[in-house]
Amino acid sequence: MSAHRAGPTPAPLRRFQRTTARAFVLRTLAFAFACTVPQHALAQVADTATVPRPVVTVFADTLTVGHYCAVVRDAMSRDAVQRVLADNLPLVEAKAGKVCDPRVAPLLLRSLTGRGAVSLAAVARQRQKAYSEVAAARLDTAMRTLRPFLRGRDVQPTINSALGDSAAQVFRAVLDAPALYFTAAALDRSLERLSRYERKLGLQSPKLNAVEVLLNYSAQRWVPGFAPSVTRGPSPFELIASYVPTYATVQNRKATAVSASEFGVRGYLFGDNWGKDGRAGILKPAYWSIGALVASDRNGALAWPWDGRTRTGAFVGWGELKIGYVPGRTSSVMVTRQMQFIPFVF
Amino acid sequence: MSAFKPQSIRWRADRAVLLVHGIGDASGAGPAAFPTTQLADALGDDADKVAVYTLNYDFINDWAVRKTNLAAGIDVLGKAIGVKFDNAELATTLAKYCGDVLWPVLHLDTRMAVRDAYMAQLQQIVLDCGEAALARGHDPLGYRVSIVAHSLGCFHTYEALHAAVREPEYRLQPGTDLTQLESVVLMASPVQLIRSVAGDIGVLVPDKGALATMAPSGLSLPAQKFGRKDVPATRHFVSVTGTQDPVGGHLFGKRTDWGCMSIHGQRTEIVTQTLLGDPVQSLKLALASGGGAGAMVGGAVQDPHSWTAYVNSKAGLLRELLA
Repeated sequence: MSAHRAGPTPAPLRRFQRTTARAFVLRTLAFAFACTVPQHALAQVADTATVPRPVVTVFADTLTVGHYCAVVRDAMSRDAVQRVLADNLPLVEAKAGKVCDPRVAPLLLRSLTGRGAVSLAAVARQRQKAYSEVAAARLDTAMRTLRPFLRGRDVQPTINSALGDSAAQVFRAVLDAPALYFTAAALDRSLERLSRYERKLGLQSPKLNAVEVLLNYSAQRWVPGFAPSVTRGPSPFELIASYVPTYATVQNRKATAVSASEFGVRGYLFGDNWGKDGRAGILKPAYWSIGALVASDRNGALAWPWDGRTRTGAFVGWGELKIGYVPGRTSSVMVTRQMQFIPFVF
Repeated sequence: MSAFKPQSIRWRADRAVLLVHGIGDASGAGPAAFPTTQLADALGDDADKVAVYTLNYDFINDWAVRKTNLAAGIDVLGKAIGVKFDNAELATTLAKYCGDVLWPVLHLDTRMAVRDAYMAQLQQIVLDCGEAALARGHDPLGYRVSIVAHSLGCFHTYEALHAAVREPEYRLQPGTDLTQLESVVLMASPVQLIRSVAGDIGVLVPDKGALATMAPSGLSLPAQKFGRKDVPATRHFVSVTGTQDPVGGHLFGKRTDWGCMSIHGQRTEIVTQTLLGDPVQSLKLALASGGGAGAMVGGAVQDPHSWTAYVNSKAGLLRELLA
């Protein structure tokens, strides 16, 4: 999942927006802002100062990268702060330069997580929406680098005394707001990955037999694309090597059981709209499968696929429903449902 | 989204602790599986000021057991162990918890899923902390978060903290993201034990490079390289173990090098223990309860692995670090 995915605001972020600080903090911040950063950058904040809303929501709705820049520049203009930054000053100035790029100044802090709308001013200026995503990634890196140097335990006493209590409180809140937003976005991603693991391993997923356990263990170790990753979560792919005695076909106008072996791959559908229960699951299942099918020309339940003349065909699966086809003199279309009869065996 | 929901608490003051469960069915026992009452007793008047989070990951182990039909394997393992112990019930219990220990080491998906659940809970704590501090006009960096883990929870904590300092994805790097913990207390840590055992079956362990427990350089305190300095994941890293607790690295009162976690820079607290009653019964109780509530029965049986007993015996330490 992209770190800057567009889409509906997820639950942790919504809750975060709802439950943060209250109006008195906002009024304090608005007042302190008025004292510390240029007036033109504060117009929007002042307009909302009388509305009792959570402070971080207000930041998200109204504060821009330009405000962030103003606060950082103000702190860095103090001699005491420059002295305590010492050798790190060039790096901090370089990152501050990126944050203070006038082209990104209109971007809302909230839009940096990819979940809030970019301000109309920004879009109008850049005339390309994609720019905001690129800019957001760069700004994320710049802000993430700046914060420990300007908010760390070493420098904080100096900042506090240089700015004064009220302005220092604003400074902390402005630098922490995007950091908390990015943490909320990281939480969303953690939960998204966990939901993918649940889809692949959880109650609705097909069970593996002993051979498949070993095959998939090996694939995860040695085949690219099968191992889980820190950022994406589980691989969507799973190898299939199973004996399926439950295929059914019609031969001579009579329903007949067919036993077959399947060799293929299963792909999990990790999107939010997939993995439905019940009838909806027919249209929106949790997985698909495709591969080769080996069956004996002697039909019947529990028949050995390599007994007699072996027929090789193919199967495709959509959720639990699977359809197979084996060509030959007695070619047939077969159907079955994903299930496991004997645990660990088939 | 996942069925797992990280716990979110409105902080009453400026501190919080995350309790991480070890082996045992924390899902079944619910909150009772955690020694929250004992912790409150230890903290005394400060108990109300500490937001107590709990984390268990049994549900992920259960996914893996079902997915790979481990139950069949557990039955076989249980029968094999049963021959040695002449106690079928204990054998099944032992086999199940052997599986709980092995899964995160041998099964990559399980290992990563547990880590994501752990990280989600830590990220939620960071958000709760930020909300509480901003609401009061305080500096969030002045607020304190600690972890108290027991048994296998220590292994997951050790791995999670190393992953947190290593991977920017989680936004929990102590240097970059200013998320240094106040303290981490590992009670009856099997980290060294797992390192020894996993080392013996090393060829079977996938992606060893991502397992801090198996790092060639040895066990270490998790720290982020930030500029020219190392920023530790926690200000206090404490290991607590008992003299009769085999999971914590002691056998018949003696410390074992292959089982006892000893990391340069850690603070070690040893609890002197005396076994009472049937040791097998003690072990079964410990496994069944995960060392939480109910691990002691009327004082007649002392469970050397009991989390409850550890919290009671180290009340002073917990008060010092958490209150």
